[in-house]
Amino acid sequence: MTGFDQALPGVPEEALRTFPVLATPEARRRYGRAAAFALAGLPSWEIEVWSRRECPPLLRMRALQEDWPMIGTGRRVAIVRPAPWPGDELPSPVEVPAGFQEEAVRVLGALLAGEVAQPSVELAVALAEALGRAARVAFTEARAAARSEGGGVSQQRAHGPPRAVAEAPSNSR
Amino acid sequence: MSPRSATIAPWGWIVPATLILAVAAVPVVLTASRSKTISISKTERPRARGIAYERHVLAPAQLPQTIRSEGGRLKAHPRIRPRARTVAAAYFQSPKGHGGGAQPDGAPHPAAPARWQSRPPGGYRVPDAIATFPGGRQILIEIKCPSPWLTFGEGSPWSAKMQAAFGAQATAFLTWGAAGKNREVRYLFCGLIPPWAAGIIEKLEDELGVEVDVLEGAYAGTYPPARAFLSAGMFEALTAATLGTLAELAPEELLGAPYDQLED
Repeated sequence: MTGFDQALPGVPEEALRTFPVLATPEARRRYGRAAAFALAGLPSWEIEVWSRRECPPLLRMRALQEDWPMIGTGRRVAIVRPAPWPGDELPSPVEVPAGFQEEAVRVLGALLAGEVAQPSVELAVALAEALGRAARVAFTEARAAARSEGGGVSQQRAHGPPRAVAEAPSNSR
Repeated sequence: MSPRSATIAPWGWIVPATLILAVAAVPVVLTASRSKTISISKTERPRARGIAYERHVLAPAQLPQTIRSEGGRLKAHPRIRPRARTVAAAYFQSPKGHGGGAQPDGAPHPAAPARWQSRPPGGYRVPDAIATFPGGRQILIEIKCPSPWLTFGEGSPWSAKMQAAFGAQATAFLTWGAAGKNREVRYLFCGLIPPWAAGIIEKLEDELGVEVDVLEGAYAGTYPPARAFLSAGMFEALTAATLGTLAELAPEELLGAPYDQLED
C-alpha cells in the first residue's frame, strides 16, 4: 500500500486502521509476514533505488501489481520490496499488550500458513498500530533514499537498522 | 418402404425466422452501441478518470484522515498565486509507450508554447489540495491519473497541448514550493507516472531547484481503474517481449522448415 506518509509492501490500506479482509492464502501470508515483522519491531522491507531511465519497466509493473510502494522524485524512484523472511523463526512479538503474546504467535502462525485467523479486538488494534508505525518509517526511509544520491548510482539496497530477533516457540512458524 | 417427404406448413417458418432475425439483429445493436462509445472525445474519458481518482483520494477516510491523524489540516482546491515566472518549455515524445520511455521532442507542434508560465498575469492556480501542519510545514498535493501507456511521436498536436498544460501547472506548483523552506510539492499518481510527465518534472526540478515527491500507485489498492492500467501495460510488455524474440529468429526457424526439406 502507498498512502500519503505511509507505505508498506504486502498489506492493504485498511490494515493500518483495522484487521483487514484477507481473501486468499497468499494475502494472508503477506499480511502475516508484514505483521510479524512489525510486532517484533523489525523492518519488513528492503529499499531499492533506481534512476527512472534505467529502472526496468517490468520491475515497475511488477511493483504496481504486487502493491510495492514506489516513492521518488522526477529523476529517481525507490521501490519498497518485502524483506526476505528470516528462515523458520517467527520474530518475537514484542509490541503487543501484556498477555496477548500467545495469541499473537497463534494468529501469526495461522496467517503465515495461509489460514484464516481472527484476532481479538485488542490484538487487532495492536496490529494496526504496529503496521501504521512501520508504514511511516518505511515511507520516510524510501523518500530519503530516493533523494540521497547525487546521481549516477542506478541501484542500491538499504535495510532498516538490524535489531535482535528472538527465537520463536517451537510450535510456531 | 418409400421415403417420407417432409413438408413444413407455412406457419412453421415463423419461429425459425424469428430466431434468425433476432440473431442477425445482435451485431447491428452492438455496432450501434460501440459507435456511440467510440465517438466520445479522446479527452472525456481520461478527464472523467482523473476526476474520479481525485474524489477517491480526497474521500474523508483517505487522504483527509491521514492528514488529520498527523495533526494537520487539509484544504481542497485552494487558490494560490505563485510568483509570476516563465521557463523554457520541454516536450517529449513516446513512440513506444511506457516500455520505450520518453525522448525529447526535437520538433514539437508549431502551436506548442515555447515557454511555460507559472500563471497568467493577475491570475492564479488551483492545486488539488494543500496540507498544513503544526510548525508551518505545508505540502501542495496534486492528484493525477493519466494513462502511462500513451504513444505519440514528435510534433503531435494533442500531446503538445497535454504537456504544455501539465508543464505550466507544474511550473506554478514548483515555483510555489521554492518560495518557502517549509513548503513541499507532492504528486500522487493512480498508477505509474508516464515517462513524459517524469521528464517534465525532472527538468523543472533542475531548473527551479525544488525536489518533488512522486508517489505511484497512491491509494490504488481500492481504485480499480489503476488495475486496468496494469493489465494494459502487461499486455504491451508481453507482446513486445514475444514479438522481439520472434523477430530475432531466422524465417525458417520462425515458420518451420518447408515440408519437403524435413528429414525423416
